[in-house]
Amino acid sequence: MIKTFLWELSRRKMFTLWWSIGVSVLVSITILSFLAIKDEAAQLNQALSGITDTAGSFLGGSDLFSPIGYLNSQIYFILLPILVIIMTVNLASSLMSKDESDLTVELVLSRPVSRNHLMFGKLLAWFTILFTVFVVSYGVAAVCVKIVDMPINQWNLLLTHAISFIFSASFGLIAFALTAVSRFTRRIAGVIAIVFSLGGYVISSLSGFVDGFKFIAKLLPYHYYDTVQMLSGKVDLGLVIYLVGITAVALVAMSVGYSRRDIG
Amino acid sequence: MASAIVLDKLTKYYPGSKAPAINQLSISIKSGEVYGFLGSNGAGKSTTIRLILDFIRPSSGRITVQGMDSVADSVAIRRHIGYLAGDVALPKRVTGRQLLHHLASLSGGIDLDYLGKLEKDFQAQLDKRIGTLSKGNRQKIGLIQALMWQPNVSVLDDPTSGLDPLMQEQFYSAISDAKKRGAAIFLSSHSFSEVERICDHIGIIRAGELVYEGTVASVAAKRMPNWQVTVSSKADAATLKKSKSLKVSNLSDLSLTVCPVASISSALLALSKVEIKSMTIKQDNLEDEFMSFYNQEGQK
Repeated sequence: MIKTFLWELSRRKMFTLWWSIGVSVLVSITILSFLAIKDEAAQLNQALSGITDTAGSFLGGSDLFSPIGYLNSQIYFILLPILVIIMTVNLASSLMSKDESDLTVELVLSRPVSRNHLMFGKLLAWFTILFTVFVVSYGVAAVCVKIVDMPINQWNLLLTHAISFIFSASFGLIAFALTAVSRFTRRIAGVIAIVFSLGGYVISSLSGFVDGFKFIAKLLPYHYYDTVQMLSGKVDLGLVIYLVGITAVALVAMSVGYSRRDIG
Repeated sequence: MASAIVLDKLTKYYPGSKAPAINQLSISIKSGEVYGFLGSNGAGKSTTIRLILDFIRPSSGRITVQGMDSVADSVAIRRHIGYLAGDVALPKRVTGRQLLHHLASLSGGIDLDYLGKLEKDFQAQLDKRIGTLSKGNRQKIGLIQALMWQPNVSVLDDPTSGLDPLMQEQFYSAISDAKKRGAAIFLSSHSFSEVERICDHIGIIRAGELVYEGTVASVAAKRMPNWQVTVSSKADAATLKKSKSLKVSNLSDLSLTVCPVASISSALLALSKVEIKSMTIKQDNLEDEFMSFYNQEGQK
């Protein structure tokens, strides 16, 4: 498992590097831009006080310019999750299905390596790459928050950054599990995971106004993803239950499914 | 000698397919034996090989390799197997050496001197990125990774595909060495001539079923020669055509292609009854001959 893990990490050095740089640059530019509006935050919020609830729900709330409102609306509510979902879904489906579709997985499986060791080695590589991007981007975010002198508790920032990554990674885990338990191609698994995540965002955002969506929204993880609460140091219990549940289901499904199905 | 690979009434249905890809296939290969597995595209050769390696699971039946079950003991079995896939797929962004060392690390190491010998024998380019190599050079890396373990069992799918004649000779030499060492070799091929040259036994598969199994010598004995004869008159040509000992086709009025129906002796007797101006033995294309045999057996 460790050898597969190291092999996959080494093959994806450039992927890790570029995603770390890309996410960090976007986060830093967004936070540093707060300097431009910092002194007019109250007026800007007042000017936008007439914003409709529908528009507000798509942006993560009606407070867009206070330090917490800014980080919530500009980074943690939608920008960072979308970036990380794209990265993690792409990485997960690539790790599992690319080697299978081009048959290079047969080379490894012709050696004395169990399927589960192979799969968990890849999963560990996936997690490590994600963790690296998280650490680098959090470091950059923490420094930038200091630079613009945002009155944000660093612990709450770390909590929000981490939960944002974990929440986004859950969709990558779904893509990973889909490609492990079935012969879904990289593209199909990716589309399913992204539709589930972004569809959840749209339905949750509309659920306050469309009665038909209210019940469905409660079944979707985005409903429990409240970054304003997280930036204040609280995490919704529903989100914790979703994250633990999806992780457990995915791990069991992939270890049972991958060891039993036809490969290639 | 003990059987190294045993396929026992092996059947494989792919999901969504009503016809089996492999149907009740039973084969036994002894240690020190080279078994040639012949068949056209889609006949079931690669499916059989992928079942042996446990990439796919049988719908029914069982495979044992060195006495171990292919599904329950798949990891243990693969300590003894060298495998080459048909149209070998290798990761493109790494060098051959990096790949071979990674595979060696998964298997607990290899004899580096032997790897060096294979590298030299096959003139392999191990320090270039695999993606930049030609098909033949990628095939060499595939062969080296299959042979470098000095395995007790080799499973090779179309091993000489893309190799030039010189490298094919190197491969035949490596197979000969493995055979002397007592390794069992299961080799699928499209090439009758290759199988005839290096195999002891052959099995011919058609639409998932074994239609012939025997020694290479017994297949060679089944082959009948073709003669190209020129007779002196149209009457002689007509006489040959009427003969029940001969299968005759016209090249021109007096020039004929003649093939014995049952035995060479009776065919020569029939030919002796006419005046022959010239006679040459037509060189058979072995591939054509195999396909003719294959189709003929398949229709039974």
